[in-house]
Amino acid sequence: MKGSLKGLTRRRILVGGGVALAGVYARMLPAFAPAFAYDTPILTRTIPSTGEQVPAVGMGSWITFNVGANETLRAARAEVLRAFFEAGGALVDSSPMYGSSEEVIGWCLEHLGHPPRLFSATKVWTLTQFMGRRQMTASEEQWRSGGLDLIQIHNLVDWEAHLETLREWKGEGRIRYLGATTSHGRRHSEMIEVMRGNDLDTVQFTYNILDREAESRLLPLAADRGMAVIVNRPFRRGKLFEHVAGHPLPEWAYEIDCANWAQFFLKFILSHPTVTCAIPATSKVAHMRENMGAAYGRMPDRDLRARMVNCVEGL
Amino acid sequence: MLPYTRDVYFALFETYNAAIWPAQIAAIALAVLAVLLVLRTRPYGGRVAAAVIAAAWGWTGIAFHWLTFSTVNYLAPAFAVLFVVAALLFAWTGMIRGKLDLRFERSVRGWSGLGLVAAGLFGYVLFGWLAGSEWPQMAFFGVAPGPTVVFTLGILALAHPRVPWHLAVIPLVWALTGALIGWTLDILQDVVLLGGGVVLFVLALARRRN
Ligand SMILES: NC(=O)c1ccc[n+]([C@@H]2O[C@H](COP(=O)([O-])OP(=O)(O)OC[C@H]3O[C@@H](n4cnc5c(N)ncnc54)[C@H](OP(=O)(O)O)[C@@H]3O)[C@@H](O)[C@H]2O)c1
Repeated sequence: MKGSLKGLTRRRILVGGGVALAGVYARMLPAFAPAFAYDTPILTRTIPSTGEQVPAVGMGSWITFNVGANETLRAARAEVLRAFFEAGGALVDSSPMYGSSEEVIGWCLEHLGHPPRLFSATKVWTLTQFMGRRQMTASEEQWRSGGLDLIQIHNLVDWEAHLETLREWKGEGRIRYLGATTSHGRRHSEMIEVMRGNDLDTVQFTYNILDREAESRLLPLAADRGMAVIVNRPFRRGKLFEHVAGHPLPEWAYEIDCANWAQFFLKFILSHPTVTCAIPATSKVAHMRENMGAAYGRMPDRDLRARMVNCVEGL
Repeated sequence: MLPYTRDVYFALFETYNAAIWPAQIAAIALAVLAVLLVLRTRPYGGRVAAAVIAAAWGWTGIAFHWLTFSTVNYLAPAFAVLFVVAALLFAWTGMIRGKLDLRFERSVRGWSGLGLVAAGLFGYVLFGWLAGSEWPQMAFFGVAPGPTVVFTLGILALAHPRVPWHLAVIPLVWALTGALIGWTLDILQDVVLLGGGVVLFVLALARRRN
């Protein structure tokens, strides 16, 4: 990630491609509620190990960017990625497990002229150190971005072997950060052991308004150990939208500049002080704009967070 | 949970079918020839049918699963192995050892077998056509899993005096897997032809046993 985040404001996003969307929002909102907190800079968070700032909303690519060789589908994903960068996004998460996603991302990046703000985050997901090295080298090529910022050990698969390689690569400057991932409820105890005993820059796990298991152990430990937290499945793989289907956004959500449920869900995550970045995945430009909107404007405080949980659990 | 969507699945077929054209026609022509030999009770009918099935499973394993489907599905290499094993089993039992004796009888089992054979060869194309799909998005016998499996079940239903179960296991497992994937992705032809294929196959055999 080489570019500056300055100058990325809500207004620029609206002007830069969301004018029609703003019109829709305006019609949706009660007259008293401001659609956005105008001219606020995008919310960024610090990676504790270096002090580098990253925008608090990134993007995932499981399923959504696995479109194979079809150029029409690839071009459509390039537009999603364009909307992401236009809105101030930087961190793109992928994995060799996600089929063609890494290669498609590489294709899109080239198509977009290699946006300088990219923070590339992929994973290693295989057995043995030898295969891990091969896989990571393949990822470097597929991303076409002249090197990867972060490599994470996917679901802790053969983590000891890969950690050794990642330390070596970091020492050589081949990557800038190393980390590990898991998801909801799976192998949390092992993740905790790994976090306690190793110098990870980032950890990734599931945290959303209904899956809050991470609050008890993983998030506090990450804060203690100075590890950046990347949150996966922020929408519970899209199921949160089904959960609230047919229910209007509560009026008080406009107090924290939420114009839709996506922003409501994401702001809940981002307002946890230990979270560095949430990585929602989408295949649609309109959804990307909604999601990026969560990185702007006011955030809920502790009381409002509790109210948000009650609201969603009560539906 | 599948790592790809329905759109991607059909787009994959589009690219694949265009790349292998006219292999689809050759596969169907060979299969029709094998079926005619079986219907005319030629002594080598079983060997020819086994050879065609072995080639179809081998091609589908390597060209479809290994080289194509693996770009979007990390499980595809495992599927490829499964298909190649099935191909080897058919080649060994039916082609080399000549242990696949196929006979068409005018019975529930015979007609069910023939129905499945026809469904495997033309059912997917018919479904695709009715659904308004373009040809490159369709699955064809011999080069794609669904129709190849349905055709195979049909041929196995004609086995005499009984079905060699070691040949039927992989097709049945795949038919159920395929029907489940079809259900998840909302692909009606897979649900109907694969799910229905298994049901018809099992019912036809049960009827025979009774
Ligand atoms: N162990 C691990 O390392 C691990 C595990 C899980 C996930 N991850 C990472 O985390 C990322 C996010 O998780 P996820 O993809 O599983 O689930 P998610 O981000 O919670 O949900 C994705 C789903 O939400 C829908 N969606 C997105 N924005 C929306 C909006 N504004 N309105 C309505 N629907 C919306 C998407 O559909 P549309 O395409 O229609 O927008 C998609 O179906 C993954 O892509 C992956 O990169 C990592």
